[in-house]
Amino acid sequence: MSTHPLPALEIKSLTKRFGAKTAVSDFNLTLAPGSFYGLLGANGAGKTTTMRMIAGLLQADEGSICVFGHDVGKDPRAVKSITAWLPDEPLLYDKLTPLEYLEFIAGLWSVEGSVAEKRAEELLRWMDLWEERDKRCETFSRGMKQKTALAGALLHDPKLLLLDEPFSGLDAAVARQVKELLVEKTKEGATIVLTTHVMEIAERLAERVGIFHRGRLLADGSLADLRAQAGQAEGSLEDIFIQLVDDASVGSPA
Amino acid sequence: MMLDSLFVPGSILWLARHQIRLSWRLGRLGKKIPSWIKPVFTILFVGLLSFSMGYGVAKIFEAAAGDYKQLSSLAGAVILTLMISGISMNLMGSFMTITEKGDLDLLLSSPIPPHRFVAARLISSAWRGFCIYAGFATIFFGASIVMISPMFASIYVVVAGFAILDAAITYMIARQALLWFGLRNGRRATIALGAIGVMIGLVGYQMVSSTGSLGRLAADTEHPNASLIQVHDVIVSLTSNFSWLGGTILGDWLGALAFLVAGGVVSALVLNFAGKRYDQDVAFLNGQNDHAPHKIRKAHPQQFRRPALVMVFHKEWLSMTRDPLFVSQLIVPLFTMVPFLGFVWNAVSNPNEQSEMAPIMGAMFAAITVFNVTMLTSSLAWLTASVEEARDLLQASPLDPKIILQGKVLAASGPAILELVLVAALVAWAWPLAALTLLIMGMATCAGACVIEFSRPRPTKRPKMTQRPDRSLVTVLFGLGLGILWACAAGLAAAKILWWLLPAALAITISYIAWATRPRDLSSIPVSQPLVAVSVGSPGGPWQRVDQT
Repeated sequence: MSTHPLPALEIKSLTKRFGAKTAVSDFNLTLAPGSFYGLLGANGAGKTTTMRMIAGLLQADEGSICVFGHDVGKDPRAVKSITAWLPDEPLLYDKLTPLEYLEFIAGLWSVEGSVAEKRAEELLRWMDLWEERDKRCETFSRGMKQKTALAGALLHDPKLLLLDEPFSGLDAAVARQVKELLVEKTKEGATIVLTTHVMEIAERLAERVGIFHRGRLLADGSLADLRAQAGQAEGSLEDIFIQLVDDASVGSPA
Repeated sequence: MMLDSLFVPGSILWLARHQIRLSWRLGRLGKKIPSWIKPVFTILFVGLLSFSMGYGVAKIFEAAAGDYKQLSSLAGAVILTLMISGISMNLMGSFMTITEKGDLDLLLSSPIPPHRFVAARLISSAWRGFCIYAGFATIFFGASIVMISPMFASIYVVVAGFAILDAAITYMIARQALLWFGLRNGRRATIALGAIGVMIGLVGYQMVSSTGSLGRLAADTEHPNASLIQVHDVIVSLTSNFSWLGGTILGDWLGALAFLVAGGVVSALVLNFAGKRYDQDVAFLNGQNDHAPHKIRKAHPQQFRRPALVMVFHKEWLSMTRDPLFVSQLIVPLFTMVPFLGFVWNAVSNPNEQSEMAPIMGAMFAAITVFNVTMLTSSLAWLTASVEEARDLLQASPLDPKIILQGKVLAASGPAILELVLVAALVAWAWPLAALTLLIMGMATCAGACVIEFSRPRPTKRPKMTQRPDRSLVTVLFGLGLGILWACAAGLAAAKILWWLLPAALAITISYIAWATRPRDLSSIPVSQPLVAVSVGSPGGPWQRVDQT
């Protein structure tokens, strides 16, 4: 029996180019199970591209990604079966109801029928969508769609959650609910990688934060680590982020 | 300078130009087509259509030169059926235009008087109608050239007048449907009304245009057919009432101008009535709830236990059938087969009166059915292959892409196969060879249409699909070619002509070429592979298309 459990996520020298543009360059990261990792960066910094590579939606040009020991490139299906991907634009079918959507998700992830049924009801009730379960998603507000998509992402009880701006469109009460749920999930052993533009969310939720800038990881660590890297004794994550990005922008080509 | 003075910002024409530009961009087919292809293709297509069909019209006219009354009656009846179809089709478009909320808040928050928006919408709608009807009118333009006569030129005045009239009438009907039935049921009502109108127009057109062949059938000296003689006589007596209408496209300039005047007067009345009430209408529209009535269904545990293939099929099926406009667009062309069913009924009920032309009717029926099936499958295959709203979800799931593909193909071809089986069973007694042929060739064309559409998916979003046919031009042309070739093959085979092998071989070749020349990205994961190239390269937007990355 190994005393070192498999890392939840292990990324080595990850690089992705689109023509002449390098979207992600030499990215390394290792996360233990139960981690909550926040990935920050401006628009176009490479966060979503990285997340899509982890989710198996995009092939890397160089490097490797392992999720609980499964290589995304070599065994994508094993990775996908334990991963959930929630992009900033909810992946919904307008003509389906939330319940039908969850039935479909259960089919995609081969969740056992009775388990899926029970979990679908729990999730919809928890998201305050149970009464809306027979309305088509096309009639939903942005926040309701986001909640439905989140319920779909949680249905197969993933061990790795990749959340791209999961709080956009959510009202304050639901956002708090979701935050609590995510923290609860990490306590149960799930690993979460979250991107956000709202620094307070990352500061409050993530135990470790990475700052991306033009495809490169500028800084990585806890808030204290980042403060040290930025040379700031105090200051919020926003201050640190802006300083690190400004410093990196000076002297580097646009 | 002259144009600038016409399109003064805030004026009706300026707003109409804005509206037309928007609808033109919405209706563009594809994006990555080299700029020279469209004009060249359009000129060739219109030229060919104009000349070939115009030549036929000219010949008919020459043959019936001495019988102007008969010719104008026939032309009038044909035009009437086309007008019914045109108004019905435009009705759905008008309702969508009226209820499209996208820019209403922006427009109405401006200080421009609301009636100008109505006027702009009427002009935009009339322009759209004019473009479509002028396309049909090229047939007569061709005839004018063949005959070296300006006689048919008056059709363009009729087209302009009718387009204006059409825009005004459909606006009022759509408005009333909204006010009477509300947004949701009003949409359903206009779709149903439009579909019925198109159906009447299509069937009427077929009946009128087949008057000649009906006459030949009825007058078959060996087997005179009382029922067909009756049908023929009814149609002829009906068409005789529309000679005045036919005259407007045969050089009756006064009649043609009357159309234009009527269009202008009706439009002015509609503008006066609806323009004053436009802000009230919009307020009513904004207060409408488009939600479906809330029905709580009981949980069905077995629905969570269905196999993945069934889940995928079910999802596609629900998405298709819950779009009434799309469904109506699919179903309406099937009514082209209705008149033939009359002949089937006649053959079954009067077995002793079988005409010698029955095998020809069977062959034509087989050809039309196969063509319809191709179009139906192509549309559904395009929908399931390209209008996938959660492509990332499918790609991120561990499910074997082959199962997803199978589910989608099943959903795309299922309705067509069902139609084939039903139609074959229906006509098997009257035309057994035709039934067998349409069944076999129909299955073949279903497979071919799926191959073509799944070889070139063009990701697009469902809400825009009925307004914006963002399909690959290659698949549209290949699909059309496939339908024509398999239809020819079916017709020839049903008529026991061995030449059916030639179009069949060509049709198979078309499908093979489509698959062999498909983008390389599709080779390994037919359904979800495009995603790989889709979202990346565009960090800001996850739904860029492959060709935009």
